[in-house]
Amino acid sequence: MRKGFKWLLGIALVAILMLSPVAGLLGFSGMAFAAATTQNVTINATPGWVSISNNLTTFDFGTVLADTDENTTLNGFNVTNEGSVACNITIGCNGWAKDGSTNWTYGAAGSNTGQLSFALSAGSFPGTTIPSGSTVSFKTDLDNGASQQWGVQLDAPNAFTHGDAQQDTITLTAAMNATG
Amino acid sequence: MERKLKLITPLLIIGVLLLTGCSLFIPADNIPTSNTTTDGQPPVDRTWISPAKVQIGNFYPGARAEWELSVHNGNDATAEFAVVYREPDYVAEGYAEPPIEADSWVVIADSSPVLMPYETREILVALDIPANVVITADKWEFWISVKDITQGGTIQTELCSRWLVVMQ
Repeated sequence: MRKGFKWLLGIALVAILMLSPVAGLLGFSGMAFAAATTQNVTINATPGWVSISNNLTTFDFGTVLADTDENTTLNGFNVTNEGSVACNITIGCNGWAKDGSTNWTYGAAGSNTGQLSFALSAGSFPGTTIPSGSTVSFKTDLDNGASQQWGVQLDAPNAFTHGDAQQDTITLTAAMNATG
Repeated sequence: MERKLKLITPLLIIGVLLLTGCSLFIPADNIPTSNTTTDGQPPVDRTWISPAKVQIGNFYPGARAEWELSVHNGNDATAEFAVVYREPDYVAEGYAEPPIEADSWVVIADSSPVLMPYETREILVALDIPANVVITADKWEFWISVKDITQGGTIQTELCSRWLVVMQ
């Protein structure tokens, strides 16, 4: 009985050691320890929230003439970082896409072809072309609570073959900056 | 002697458990869960998302990591949001663009939530890479995009949460 109990005790201890991470330190580098090494995925989140707003949600150039450059003022719009972290903002658009219209082609001025560009308040027009279907950098490291004034220019087609209304939607995309 | 052994056995077991931090019950899959804290309170009347950045370390094909993304509707009207995987506009230094297949590895529990005015919703986002995938980049980044698709007008906003992945 006493001998049997010693065996039982020994087996129990070995089983406990093989199931525990300390087994590796004690030289039990068996399967149980190998399995434990796959448990090391870590995940952390940066506290804080991302939020931006633009003072205007729409703008209308009205009737435009062929081969002209219509623009807002350089401080026509104002985007504000409402979040708790500094952000980078990119800008893009979806091209001329008004339902029910014969849409222009998005690109540098041509026949039924035009595009938008933007400039920050410290810059000048024509500024940077707003790409369709992709983005470009708009403003980097906009601190939380800070604002950036900006404006838009329309590089209108140099000729029209129709007078259908046109519409393009600009999207400002905010994400935490690299150092935030 | 037998009596002494009976006394020593539980003490030995307790000792080993203390040494190992009671780690006998390691789950088969280590799935980290949300534990975000913030300093201050985000505004009620602004649309926002949180967290701004999620960092996954020591990841490997076959593993899974998940986090809850908070989406807040700052409008005084019900709004529908699109919560989708997105390729990043830029990546952190030392990080690569995501693998082409990454789109299919990201699972979003509710990709088109409809939020009541000023409601905040937790949406589970999981990165679940199949075990047989080979990823050449050691460090890569993807974004989760949140956009109010009921916002009108021709100047719209999109908010993104950055997810940075470091492979084993």
